[in-house]
Amino acid sequence: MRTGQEHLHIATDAELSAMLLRSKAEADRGFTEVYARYAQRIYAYCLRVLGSTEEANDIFQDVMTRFFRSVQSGQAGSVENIGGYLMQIARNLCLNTKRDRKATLNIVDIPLHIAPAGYEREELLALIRNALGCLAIEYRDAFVMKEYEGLSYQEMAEITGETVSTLKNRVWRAKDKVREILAPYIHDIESH
Amino acid sequence: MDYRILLYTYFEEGLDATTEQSLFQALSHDAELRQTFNDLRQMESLVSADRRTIAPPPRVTTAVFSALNIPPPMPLHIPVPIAHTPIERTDEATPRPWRTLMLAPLLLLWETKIQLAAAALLCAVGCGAFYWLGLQQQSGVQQNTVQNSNAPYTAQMLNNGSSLSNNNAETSHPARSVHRNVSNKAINNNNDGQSWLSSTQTTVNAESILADSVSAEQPTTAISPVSSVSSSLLPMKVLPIASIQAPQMIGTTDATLIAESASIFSRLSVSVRGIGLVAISLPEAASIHNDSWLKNVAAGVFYNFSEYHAIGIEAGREAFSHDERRHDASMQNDDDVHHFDSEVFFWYGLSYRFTAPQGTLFGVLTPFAQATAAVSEHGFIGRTSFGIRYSLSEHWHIMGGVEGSLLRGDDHGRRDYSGKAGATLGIEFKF
Repeated sequence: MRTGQEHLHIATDAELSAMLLRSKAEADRGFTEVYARYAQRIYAYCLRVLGSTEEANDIFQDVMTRFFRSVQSGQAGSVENIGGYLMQIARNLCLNTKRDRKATLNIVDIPLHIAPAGYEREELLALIRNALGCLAIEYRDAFVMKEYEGLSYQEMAEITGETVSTLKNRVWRAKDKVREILAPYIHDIESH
Repeated sequence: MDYRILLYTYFEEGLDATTEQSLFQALSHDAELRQTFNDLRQMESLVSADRRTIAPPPRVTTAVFSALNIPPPMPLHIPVPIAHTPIERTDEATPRPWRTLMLAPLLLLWETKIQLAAAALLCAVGCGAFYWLGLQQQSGVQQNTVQNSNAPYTAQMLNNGSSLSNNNAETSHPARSVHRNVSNKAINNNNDGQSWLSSTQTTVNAESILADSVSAEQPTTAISPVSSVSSSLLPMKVLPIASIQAPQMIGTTDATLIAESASIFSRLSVSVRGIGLVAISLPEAASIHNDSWLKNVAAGVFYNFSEYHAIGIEAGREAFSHDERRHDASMQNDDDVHHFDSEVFFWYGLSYRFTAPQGTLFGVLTPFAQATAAVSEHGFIGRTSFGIRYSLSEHWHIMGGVEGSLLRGDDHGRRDYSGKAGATLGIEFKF
């Protein structure tokens, strides 16, 4: 099964996309490489935008299977940017899920986990996850794409259909909010 | 100029040299801006650290590849053995809350990442309990030896002073003959009590037994604690249990077998067990299903290095099939339970087994506890089992009990655990 898999890491997205249309063995190898290349990023997006492991697991699985089937069925055509395509599917499914849930939380409503002095890194990581949960979905979406996925504003604009300036505004406002939440803890760390 | 925006741009995309210099000048004399800079830097660091902790769980990877009927991506080091076969849908569309409820403590243990500690503790407690039972049993055997070695004679002496003449001439090993009295009623065949009592290998003084027993006006069966017997009541020396020669028959203690086993070969035993394990997919699904017995078998050779303890090597095949709730947009219900039939893989490792004294339970059942540390292509496997052994004959024994297995795999450098529990049934041959 490993045979020939190693060299695929240099294949372009278009080549991988084409592999999915060939024989089953080729398609299997191609999808395995796609998974190795993008699964972590897509899963991170789903997890941090949805804030729920169970939902993220479901949506992530849905994203990967939809991608494979849409490429194989020819609906997607030749995908030049698999990462972006996967991100589009993930974003649509995540936003739909969030809309269905209709759970808009206000920052002041969220009881943040207040750790005692001398925070461990794990607690700080939990804090940043909580802080993300406090953001409205459009801000969280923009923040995660920028900070977790490392996308440029132009790539984000292509995925979301929003303008670059709108996205910048969202990311910066999100950063303001997250920073506002984290600041007391960060200051406490620095003072120790 | 809005330096806050410059800060954001600096961290995201960088600035040209002129703007960067301008920003640094502002930072040098604006404490609040410096604090914002520090906050953003810390935030970037935290996000980066958080990002590195995220990876799709192996079971999700399994689900994806199974759904697409693609062989599992072994190069991705997915630890949980993965489905090769298409998913077999069950009719159960709803989760089973009672099972979730029952497994809640297990789930909690699982998620708090103290699985190994809990397994070790469980094994230690089990072994300790059996060991304690063993000590109790051993103590009981010693007491019985004392009681049985004195009670018949003292009773006979009290009731009939001449009854000692029933003892036979087996004077060289009085304790052995006493021991046989317990099971074989050999005392009835004794016919020379005088010589028995005068044997130099025993210090039992019949007259003092008689005198003390009579003066104390207590039933002879009240002579129970070995220490009190030897120190105050009786000037007797109790022979160590290991020196007692037991008859070769079912019911013989392992101690005697060990004591009499002169060769290494005679201390060996071979066991084969089938493990009908109920796989428990934790923590997500908390649903269970039966694995087939043939997927989980183990065989081993054990060496009894002491009365209760044995070490051995075991090898076997293992499967970690599991059920999982999975979202499927094409279905009305988002909580379909899917069965993942994992591949079977081989393992081998070292085992330690503790066996309680023969017949600890109801006189015929012998508890045992076993722990195994093994390796496989998917990672470390820890196995513990507790159960009972029943002796069919001197050599053949059947074993039954419960068994738990824990597989520790590796997922992109992160530890991942899969567990299961179930019933074990096996057979053992002791040489």
